Amino acid sequence: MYKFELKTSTFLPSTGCEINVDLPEGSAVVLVGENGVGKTTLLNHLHCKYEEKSPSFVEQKPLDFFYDYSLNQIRELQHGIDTYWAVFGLTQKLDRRISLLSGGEAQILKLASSLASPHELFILDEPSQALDHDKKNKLAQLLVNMMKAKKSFLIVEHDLLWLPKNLPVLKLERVGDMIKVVDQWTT
Amino acid sequence: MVRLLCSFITGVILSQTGSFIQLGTRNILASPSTLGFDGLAVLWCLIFHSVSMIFFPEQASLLLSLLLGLPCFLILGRTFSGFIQGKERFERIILLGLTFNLFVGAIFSLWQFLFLAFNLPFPMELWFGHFKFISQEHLLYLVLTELLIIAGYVWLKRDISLFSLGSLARNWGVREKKLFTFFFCSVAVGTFVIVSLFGGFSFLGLIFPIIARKLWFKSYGLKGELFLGSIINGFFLMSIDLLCYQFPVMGAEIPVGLIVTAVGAVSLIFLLWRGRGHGIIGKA
Repeated sequence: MYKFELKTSTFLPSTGCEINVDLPEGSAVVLVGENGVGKTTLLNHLHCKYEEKSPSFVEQKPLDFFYDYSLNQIRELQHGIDTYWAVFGLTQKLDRRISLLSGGEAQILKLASSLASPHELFILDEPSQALDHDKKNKLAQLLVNMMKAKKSFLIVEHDLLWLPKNLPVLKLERVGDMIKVVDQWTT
Repeated sequence: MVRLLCSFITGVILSQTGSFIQLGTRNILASPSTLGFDGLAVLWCLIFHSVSMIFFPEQASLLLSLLLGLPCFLILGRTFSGFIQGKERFERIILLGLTFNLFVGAIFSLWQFLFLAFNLPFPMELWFGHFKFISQEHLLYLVLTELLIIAGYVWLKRDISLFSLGSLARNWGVREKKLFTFFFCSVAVGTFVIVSLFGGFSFLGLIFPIIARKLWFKSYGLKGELFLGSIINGFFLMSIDLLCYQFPVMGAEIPVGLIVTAVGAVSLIFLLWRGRGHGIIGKA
């Protein structure tokens, strides 16, 4: 069981926060909220706080690269990543270089790299951004399979339609200077 | 033969340390010269040369300079790695390094003026390196430096390869602290040894890795840049040195550092111009 407890002192000094999230192994929790409510800041904080447990983190930021590797070269460096590419049909384009990937393909690359890494807990910040409808469904199926393998997910997302069924959703809102969970339901 | 080997290994070390510094900072403008390592090494040699002339003019030895300087440059590399790790933007640091280099250039000129005024021998070759006065001792120090770099690479091979993937590597447990220490200690020590032995080849640490990357990375990945590319760069420096040796101008040998910097700069312009639109750094 992962327990995320965020209070004012542990979050941003200028922003109050009262959030408790229980995340059993092999499950997922979704955080939603308006733009600018502080979801990504919260995830960044969680990422730092839980560094000992070493979660795998998929950021919203675009993919930064120095070397323009081809997918084939990346496959040789990150073993097992092609299993995840295969889910999204990226294995058809192994000669393609990072600089030539579309926004959706770059997002798949980011997701696959994170999901293929040896972690039990995954923090995903808007994982469906730039993905088409079909890819979102494939991602949902992949998450279900990984949860069966005891992997856990904390997900920030705006579009809830593609997510697997029966995941708890926590709605965050700024109330005065405080960020609070104001509503809960399931997908 | 010793001279050929020295110029070859110098080219290899310049190419590899340039690659490490550019990979560590993820910036193609970073190099031992633009980050000020070259300037510091020149400054060290100037100070050592001057002090040794005053206190022990008969016994000033290269070994002593290296023995005194190596720990300092190791500490410098270690400190710099701690300072630079985790930073995302390096423009300010590169500007500081360039400014420091200009400052060292001014000190160099002033020192030269004073030495000439007092009719003392001045180490002119510090600014543009050459291989005129080579001995087996020089070769030994160079080989040891290169062996240390190779040993470090073998030790951290997995981390270096993963780190080169950029933000894709962040969840894969890269030992960044060790990696940065290795990168910047290699750069500091490599630059110091080369400047102490042969003088400065300031621009090459910037140009060589870019040439190696442009020509060999696409087909052979990081190994192509760090080994195949650096070997080609070593042959390049060796060939130019051979030409300088074979064809003196008005009876004097032109410093290879001067020629190779000019040729390298033109090659860099050509490569960057041809490769425009295919960014080396980027976001997707």
